[in-house]
Amino acid sequence: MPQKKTKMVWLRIFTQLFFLLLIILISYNHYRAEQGLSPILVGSASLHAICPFGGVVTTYTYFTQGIFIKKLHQSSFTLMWLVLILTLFFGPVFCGWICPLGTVQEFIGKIGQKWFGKKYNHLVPSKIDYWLRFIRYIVLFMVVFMTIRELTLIFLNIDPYFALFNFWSDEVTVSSLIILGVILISSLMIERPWCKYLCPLGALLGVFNFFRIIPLKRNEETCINCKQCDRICPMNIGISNKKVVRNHQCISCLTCTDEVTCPVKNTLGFSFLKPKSNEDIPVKGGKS
Amino acid sequence: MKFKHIHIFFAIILIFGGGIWFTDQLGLFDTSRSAEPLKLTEDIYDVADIRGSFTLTDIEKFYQVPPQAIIEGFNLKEDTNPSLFLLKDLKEIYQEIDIEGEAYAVETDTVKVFVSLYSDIPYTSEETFYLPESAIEYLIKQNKLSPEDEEYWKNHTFKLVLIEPEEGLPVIEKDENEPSVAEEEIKTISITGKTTIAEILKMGIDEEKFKEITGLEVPEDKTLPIRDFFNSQELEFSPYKEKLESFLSSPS
Repeated sequence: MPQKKTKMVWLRIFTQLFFLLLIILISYNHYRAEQGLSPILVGSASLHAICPFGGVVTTYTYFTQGIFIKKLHQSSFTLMWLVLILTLFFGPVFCGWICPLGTVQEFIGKIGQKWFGKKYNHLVPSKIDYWLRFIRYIVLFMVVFMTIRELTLIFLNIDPYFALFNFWSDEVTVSSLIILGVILISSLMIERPWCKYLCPLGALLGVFNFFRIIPLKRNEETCINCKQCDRICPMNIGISNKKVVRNHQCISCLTCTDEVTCPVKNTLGFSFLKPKSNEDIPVKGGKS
Repeated sequence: MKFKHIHIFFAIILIFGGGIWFTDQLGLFDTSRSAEPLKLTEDIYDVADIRGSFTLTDIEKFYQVPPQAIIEGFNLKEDTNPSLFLLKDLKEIYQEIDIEGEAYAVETDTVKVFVSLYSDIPYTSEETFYLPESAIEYLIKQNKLSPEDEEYWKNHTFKLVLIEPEEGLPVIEKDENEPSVAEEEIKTISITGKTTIAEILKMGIDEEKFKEITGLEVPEDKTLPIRDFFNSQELEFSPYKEKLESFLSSPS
């Protein structure tokens, strides 16, 4: 039965805006600190210190040599663990709710939606798109491997997050600015292109979707098979043919759930698994 | 139980926000790097942890290599200010040299090798196999090289070449009537949070004047960055920065 929506979606937008503004302010404060000025409202940490991916690339050196890679600090290592705990429960909430680069791509995508209408986010042929999504695992492997080998923050050379929020810094490389430009333009056609195809942190967190404690579940008995969930998913995941969605690309944005899009109450949402449930069983005729 | 926006919102506050607060209380959320390099032993600092942000004064403080050694070894101007010159600035002064088909820059790692040889602290570089001729000459003059090291390094030197004015920083011909670089620095430099107390004093604010302007005694440790000093007194740095700069621009 169609239900009245509570539209708590603003909570996610509020959280995204909060973290976006926080990062902009911290980055501005860092610039002020370099000029000898006091920070405003919050601290003046470097962006390296507040990115959990820093923790990922320095984990090996921390456990084998007891050191952090140059430019990284204890805070990024701690942040990584906090993000992993959050992800273990709810999946990549960091990507869908916190990451400022994801937010910027998503907001640019709103313009793209107006320009391209229904074609928006469906412009890449599905076969190519399927394989492109594995590139981020190669990026993750390469970045971690190269960082361990070189003992420097290799990712800085291609990092669009650092380039976006620190574009005035001489630390920003030309290659990262080019990548940032390509991502921002692509965001007009593809929702979250960096997250989908290249983000190494997204790759790591995406793996947690396979064993997260609170997955996305669909109630087959009440589902009317309208496929609105498939159409609305920013990551183009086929939801309508699964009982339990364990796709590596899910960003836990909740857009598909019956709180926002699904028209039937208690049909699609995040909940604990019941013991002995049949996971990921495709339904006949469903999207793969 | 079904998890909705509100639950995830509170989970973020609890796990992410609360986690940051809690780990900060435990000292596990340090967003800055210790100003001190890592130690190899109780008394010896690791040469590998020399950073581009170190000044010549830092090198003297941690590795007992006098600023004059680096000034002579790297052919820097005699009036180079040891408290202001950062090791990463070397890259802006000297051209990359082509050695055995590879571009070779004078940079922080070059200083690491120099410091290692000077102070006999072990350090194995994976990129520096050549040193400036002037650096090796200085080390030989100071008897810092073993016969084997001397044999090797004598054959692994290159000449330092300044970056041409149009390529990098302007090279200003010195006129005897003009103020020295150090004097010019004092007149034009602005005070930043990293400026040390010693540098402030050198700029022309004596200890009495410092007390008059800030209401605080000059601390014993004059290598302390000015912002850290005010922060340790639980004072905002920026109002004092303005007062000190305004005095420097019109000392009368």
